[in-house]
Amino acid sequence: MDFFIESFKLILTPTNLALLAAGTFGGILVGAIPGLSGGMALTLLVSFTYGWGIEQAMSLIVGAWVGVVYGGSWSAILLNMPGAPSAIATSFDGYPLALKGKGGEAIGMATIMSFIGGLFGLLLLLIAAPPIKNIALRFGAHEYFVVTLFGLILVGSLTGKNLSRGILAAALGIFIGIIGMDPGSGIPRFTFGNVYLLGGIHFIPVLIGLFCLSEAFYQIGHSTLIGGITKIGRILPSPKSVYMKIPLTIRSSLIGVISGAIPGVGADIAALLSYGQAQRTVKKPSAEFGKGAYEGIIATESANNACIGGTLIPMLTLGIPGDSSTAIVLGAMLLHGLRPGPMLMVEQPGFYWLMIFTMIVANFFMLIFGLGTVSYCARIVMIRKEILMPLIIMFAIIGAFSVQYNIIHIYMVVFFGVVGYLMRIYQFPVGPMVLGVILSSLLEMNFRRAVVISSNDVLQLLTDLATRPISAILLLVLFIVIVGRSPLARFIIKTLFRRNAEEGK
Amino acid sequence: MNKIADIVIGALFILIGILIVVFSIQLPHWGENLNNPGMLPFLVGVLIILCSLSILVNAIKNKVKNINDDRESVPVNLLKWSTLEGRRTYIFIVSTIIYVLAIKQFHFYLPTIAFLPITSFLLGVRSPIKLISITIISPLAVYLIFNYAFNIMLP
Repeated sequence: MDFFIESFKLILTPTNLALLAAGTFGGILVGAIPGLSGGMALTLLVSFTYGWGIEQAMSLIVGAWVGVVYGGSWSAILLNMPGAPSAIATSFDGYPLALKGKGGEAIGMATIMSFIGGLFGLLLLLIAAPPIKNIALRFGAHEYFVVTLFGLILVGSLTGKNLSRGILAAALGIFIGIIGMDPGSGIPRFTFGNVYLLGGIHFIPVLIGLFCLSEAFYQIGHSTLIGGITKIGRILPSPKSVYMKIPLTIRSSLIGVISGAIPGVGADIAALLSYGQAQRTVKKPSAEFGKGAYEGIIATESANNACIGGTLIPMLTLGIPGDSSTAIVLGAMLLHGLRPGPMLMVEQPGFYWLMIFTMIVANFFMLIFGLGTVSYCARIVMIRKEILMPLIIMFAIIGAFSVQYNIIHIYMVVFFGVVGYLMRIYQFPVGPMVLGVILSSLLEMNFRRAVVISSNDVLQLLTDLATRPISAILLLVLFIVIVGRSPLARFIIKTLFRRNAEEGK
Repeated sequence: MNKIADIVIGALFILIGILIVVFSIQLPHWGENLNNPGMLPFLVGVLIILCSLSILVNAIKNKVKNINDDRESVPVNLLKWSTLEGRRTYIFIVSTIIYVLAIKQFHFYLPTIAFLPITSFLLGVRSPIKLISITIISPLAVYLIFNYAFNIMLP
């Protein structure tokens, strides 16, 4: 109870409130501008707040996170160009509403439903986290190793369209994280005599390069924005229209939370799934779906903000991030000496409650700024990429340098920026690589502990992994997911369906 | 384009995977027991080889049978100098590299004052007001924000 009250008081200090407000507002603007991504903003903020206290850093970062997910709805509705992937489905009905002169109401509805969805996600986090934490406290090295591997492979297999590419990206990320001195023996690995690599490759330049620079390089090759609707009009929807849609909001938020809790699914898929369920379940929408139905916006926006709470469930309890944004937040926690996982809630319950309260207050700021500033700030969605992207490069350079004031990090940022750009061109997902870099040390530490516990014997290790209930279940699920997405499985399923169809005739 | 790119990528990463495996088994204490510095890199190398083989085999199979997979095509426009998109991207990447190299020689402000307007101009911004604004406002804002708000030293 003491931690509960102390964390609540900590968030309400003027400094933290100001940072939270600034982060949320900045996040909304970043999310609103097509070409800027949440990953970019969060990565830069993690590097800029490297030397801060954890409360101030998290206030800014969490505020930006909540803001960015919601902010994508502005450009989705006004320009038909979602500022964030999670707002793609919002544009299906948001833009038609804007064309009818109801852009303001659409944004108002998106704001209120994002707020409700965000709080719902946090409520489910509060309910689900303690029992999961209690199970995770019984984890040993074997379980931690399998959980980390599970998260990496699952993200790798579910992100992007191709299983092999996703897992390959994750494996490359693990390899990059391994470079440097071996923590157990001090032996240099893959440094090739380079003294700068002895300390390993810091994950911040990798993050900035892969998320910021590569995205900037990719965006500049696409045509710049020249038109859009920025006349807003009335914003607040009627209370009755909000109240009537609460059941849809709750259903959509539930989809968001569940999607967020599964590593690799994320807010964009949550929003699309939720849109699909709205199409199936809403009998009398305000308009035909795809032509300006408010229910389309309600479903997507409540789901994508609820997803944030969902992604925090595996992150805070198991140390496994649910998506790229959570991976970046996990990186921030590691930088400040925190170790996400079940012990976090035991050893640092104050931080757990700090995260909860920060997110609650951020949602309130999102509601206030979303309804109060959209009329004045909507024009920001029109800013040209040719001005924006060089600024992003400048901030990325500052962010990379700020971590350890090492000029080599700047070179690494550009290197990984080019690598990330080529990955995007050749359709390799970037998220699994980032996750691999962040989780590589945790993976190796638990692998080697598990090996020692299993007496350095391969058969004993495999037997232990297969006979411990939690690791066995996770390995089975992983096996099903990988096999299910493999070409062999697709072939078998196609053949079975064809046979059934022929027998049906 | 997808198939040729995949064949090259598959082959390249198989080679990278093999190199990782070879260097792993050359690390000290390899073979003494499972708990050695080379074990995890070895396993990662094997995983890279397997994934790359899958990409390569699929690509060859699709090429032989002339099958188009359901992925979007590789955006080749972004790689060709002859296209506008390609030129913009190359200009941007090269100017970024020059900017970073210049920072080492001249520190942060001078290269930034040059980089921002020149790159924006090369990418198509022609308004003198916008170019001058970027040149003056951005470094000034950075100086104030990062020195006084974030308390971060600049390169």
